Amino acid sequence: MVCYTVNNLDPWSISQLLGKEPDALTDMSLTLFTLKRLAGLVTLLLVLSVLVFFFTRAIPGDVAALYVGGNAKPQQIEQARLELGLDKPLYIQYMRYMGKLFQGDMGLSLRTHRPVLKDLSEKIPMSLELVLLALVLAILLGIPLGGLAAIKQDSWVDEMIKWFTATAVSLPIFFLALLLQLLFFDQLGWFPLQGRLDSMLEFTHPIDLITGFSIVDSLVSGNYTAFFNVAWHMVLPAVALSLGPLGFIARLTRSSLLEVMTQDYILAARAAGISEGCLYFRYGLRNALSPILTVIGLMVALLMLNTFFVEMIFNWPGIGYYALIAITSLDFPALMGVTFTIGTIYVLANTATDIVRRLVDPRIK
Amino acid sequence: MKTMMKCLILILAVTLVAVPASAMEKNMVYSSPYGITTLDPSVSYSTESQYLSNMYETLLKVNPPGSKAFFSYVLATGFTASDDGLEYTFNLRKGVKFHDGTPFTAEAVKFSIERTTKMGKGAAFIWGDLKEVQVVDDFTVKVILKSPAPLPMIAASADGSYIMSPSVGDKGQEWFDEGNDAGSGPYTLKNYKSGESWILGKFDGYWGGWSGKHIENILVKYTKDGLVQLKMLQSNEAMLAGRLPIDSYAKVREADNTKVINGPSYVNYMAFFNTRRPPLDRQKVRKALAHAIPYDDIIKIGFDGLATQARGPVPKGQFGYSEKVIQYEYNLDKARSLLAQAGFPDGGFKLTLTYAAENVSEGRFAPLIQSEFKKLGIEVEVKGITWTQQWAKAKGNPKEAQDIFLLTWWPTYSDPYETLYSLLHNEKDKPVWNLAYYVNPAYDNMIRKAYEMIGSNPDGALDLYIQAQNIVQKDAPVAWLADIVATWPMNSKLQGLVINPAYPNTPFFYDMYIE
Repeated sequence: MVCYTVNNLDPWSISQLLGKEPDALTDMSLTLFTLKRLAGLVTLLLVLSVLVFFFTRAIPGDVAALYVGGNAKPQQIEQARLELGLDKPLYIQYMRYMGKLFQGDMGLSLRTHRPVLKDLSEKIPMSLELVLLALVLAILLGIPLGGLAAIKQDSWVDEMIKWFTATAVSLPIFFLALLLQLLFFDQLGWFPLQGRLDSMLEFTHPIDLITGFSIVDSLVSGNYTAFFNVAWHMVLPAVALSLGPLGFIARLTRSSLLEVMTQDYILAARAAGISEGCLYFRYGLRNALSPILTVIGLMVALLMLNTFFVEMIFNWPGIGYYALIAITSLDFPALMGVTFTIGTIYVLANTATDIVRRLVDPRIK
Repeated sequence: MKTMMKCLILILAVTLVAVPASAMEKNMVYSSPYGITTLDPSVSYSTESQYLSNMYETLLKVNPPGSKAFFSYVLATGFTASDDGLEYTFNLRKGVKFHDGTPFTAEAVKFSIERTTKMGKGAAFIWGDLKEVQVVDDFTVKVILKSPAPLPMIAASADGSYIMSPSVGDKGQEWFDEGNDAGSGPYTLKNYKSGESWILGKFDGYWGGWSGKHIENILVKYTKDGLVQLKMLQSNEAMLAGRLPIDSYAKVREADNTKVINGPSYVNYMAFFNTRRPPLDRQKVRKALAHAIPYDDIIKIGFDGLATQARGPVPKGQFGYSEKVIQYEYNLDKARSLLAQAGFPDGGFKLTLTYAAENVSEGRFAPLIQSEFKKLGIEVEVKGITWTQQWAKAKGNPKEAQDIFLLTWWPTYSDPYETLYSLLHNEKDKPVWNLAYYVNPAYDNMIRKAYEMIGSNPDGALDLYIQAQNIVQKDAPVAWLADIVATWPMNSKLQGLVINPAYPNTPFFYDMYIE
């Protein structure tokens, strides 16, 4: 292989070699870039807060009665109305909510009667461990699969991959989750039905709460029985979550890579006698990655939303499960909390991918 | 590499043998759709009472219908009432300890009742007639009322009557909601993970002792989805489940490893007629509709046969229920003739019916009412909306509200007053539960009189309750649809679950064991 001989033949220097003027490097430092993004995050959250607050309040439903629960008596409902400040005009309620939010108080959940922030801090890690695993699976399998399809363009391998990815992308997530459950629990019995941990292990090997990530906590505390059990429980929900993004990433990799492979610098590199595999995976893929990285940022948000279905079906106690119950019980404070969380994760994920894109491709402003 | 493989195999092997067989006989998993709103025994007034009832105790407990005695003594060993029904003296059980080690005395009773009434949340309204709690000595407590009330039933209520350790002191709801408990019951709360799972673990110092067959630890897996509960039950992962999809009960009943236990419940279904909107403001039209409801079909389709036709507001088996209460039977001819008398010989009007979309049974039987009413020439628009929306709309202006409102109801304690008062007394301009918007001062007076009489003259009170229900039945502001049968799907090996309608949806785990 001759890859090592052209180590400095990265696209940047190739474009210089070819006499093209590269895009001017932006002066903005990475810090400034990040700060700008964070300012954008605050604006986005403000807009989101207005939308969610006023939309949810427009839905008919007596928040005070929901808070009291049961066969509540009229006096109790009125008392709760005063306690929750619901007797005030809506804009005052909003101002109060935002005022408290800046002090880190998201209010009390109407359903669990616990601070929403506390509920979320327990639920978010549980979802993130599923989402991150799904994302890693999607990237680690999706990019090579797309690369393979590009190399074997128009062959039967390409055709097979096309079929597989088309199915993966178009299957509704709840159907896919049920299908996996039916096949791997009901029929084959290879994987567990639901939950994070075998019920009996909750008695014998409970997981100590350290970070909230059950897989990390069980490992750190040396609770290997629980660790393997949690990993075993994560397989089906993570696979259900990852298949859609995997298909999408694979298709995008294929098309992006094929486009890059027609560029002048690849022709030049090919003329320089670099092997095809090296061309595709070292020089082609690096330039094809930029659109894929952009998509990965979006994928995180999509995966967070898909946890709504997957967590319900697999009884996984994360933010999706929490959100779904909050929606059905019109738990407004919890809904606001979930929206903020997903909005924040979305912006942070996009910022992170943008930073990575800048590192991979310095032409990006 | 080889060493790593060996390690892996070893760990996997440990995983597989981690659960000793004996642990299975004392421990069980309960796949439950019933969540926890609060763990504070003074505030709780929702589905969590089924867990609190296993952690906390009350002075008395109402026995299931058909028992020899009406009450069982729990933390009390006996009580006497003054002739005027204003003073009750309870003798208390000795040798009881709370989970925190504090001994149970009369101070605890005083502390608990005062804490609950002072907080004024949840089911605290049951103590509305309380004047004072006096400690006579360590094991005698006197409860003094402002006006007569059925105090023993209140003290045995499913909500708001728990006795807790006085060591709780000033601790608020947050302390409990972190997963703490202060009860004296057979089980104590462990490993509380809100919205996920919690363990009701054996309390070694329980006064009832642990000899004989008992379940020692119950892992409650909060499982909202009925299908997941079903699968957990079928695969023996769970010994007990809460609420399965309606059409799966037959399967569970027939399978070898699972069964379904049935028993009475005080849960009933009803249809409120809007008495403020024409044409339902006419008594004869309402009576006609009460005769046009296909009660048997509702029971068959809506409840898979597991219900009986209701006879008025008081459910079957509860004090106040009587065969003397008028019951409307399904009879379209009678309905037609009543409609003709009211001036609607061919129907010819439209009605809207609302039900809670999340209530599977209501969704199944609402169309049956629609099709029967159509036979009388009455168009019914059936609207399934979320419970909160349905209720919010009904609490607005009655003139613009729905015509028919389907509701599921259950009482808080074993006296009919709460039901009769909440559902039918004059709520004036602020309707909450009287969603027929029914007004009848004679009725209001009669139920109050019965309530005050219950301590001194239970027979007279019963008579008044029956008369009051018949006043309602003659006016027909509500069609009483079905008293439902409680169902518990479980593993065939699980024994001892007694269904007690005074404590809806409550499995008392201490009585249960695995065969």
